[in-house]
Amino acid sequence: MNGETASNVNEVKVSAWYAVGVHQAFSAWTDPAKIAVWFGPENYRAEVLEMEVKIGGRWRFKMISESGEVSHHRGRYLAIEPDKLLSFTWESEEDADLTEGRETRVSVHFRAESGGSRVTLVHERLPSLKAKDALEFGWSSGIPKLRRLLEGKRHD
Amino acid sequence: MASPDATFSALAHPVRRRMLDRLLDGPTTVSQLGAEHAVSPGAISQHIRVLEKADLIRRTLNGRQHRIELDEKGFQPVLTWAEKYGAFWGANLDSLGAFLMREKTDER
Repeated sequence: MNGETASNVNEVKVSAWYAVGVHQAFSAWTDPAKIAVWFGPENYRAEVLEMEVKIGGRWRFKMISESGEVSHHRGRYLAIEPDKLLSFTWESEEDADLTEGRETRVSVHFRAESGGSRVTLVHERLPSLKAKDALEFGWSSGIPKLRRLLEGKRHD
Repeated sequence: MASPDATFSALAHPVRRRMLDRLLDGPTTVSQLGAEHAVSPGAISQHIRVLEKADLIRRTLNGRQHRIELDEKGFQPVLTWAEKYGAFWGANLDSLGAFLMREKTDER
C-alpha cells in the first residue's frame, strides 16, 4: 500500500491505494460487520453501536484503546454513492475540544486506479458558515511551513 | 484565547488570507503590507485589527514602524486538530489496507 498525507489548515486529507476493486473498498466502509473489524488505528478496537447506512441515518462507534481508554464518536450519513463516495458528519463525544462541539464532515472518495482502488479521505472542520470560506484558505506550503516558522520563533 | 468564531471570521476574508500568506515568509511592516496588497491605509489597519483580535498576528513597535508577524496563539488549535486527525485517519487507512488484504487472501 502506498499512503500519503497532506493537510490544509482547516481540513485533513489522507489518501491510499489498495490492490482491491472499488466495490470491496466501499463495502469495507458500509458493511457494519466489516467496519467493526478494521476501523481505528492499529492499537484500537471498534464497536459499532449504531449504523444505519442511508442518507440522514445515524452511526455511533465506541473505540477502546489498548490501554483501555474508551471514546465515542457519532454522526449522520450525508451522501452515499455506491463505490464512489461516502460522506458523513463526525462528532467526538469525549474530544469535544477538537470538534469544538460542532459538526465536522468526513468524505471518503473511491476511484479505480492502476488495477486497484484509490481511497481519499477528507475531514473538514465546519465550525460555522463562515468556515466555508476559511476552508478555501489554501496555503501553498501550508502546515509544514507554518510549523517551521513558529518553532523557529520559539527558539529565538 | 480568541473564540473559534473570531478565528474563522478573520480567515474568511480573501485580503486577510493573502496577508497571512505573505506573513508566512516572515515579519513585515504595516506600510509594506498595504503597498503589497494595494489596500488603503484605513482598510489595512482594519484588517490588522481583525487578525490581531483573532490572535493570528501580533504587532510590535519598532522605532516609528509597526512590525507585524504571525502569532502562534491563534494557529495552535488549528494545528492540534490537523495533526491529531491526520494521524488518526492515516492509521485508519493502514488498518483498512490490512483488512482488505486479509479479506482477499481468505477468498482464495
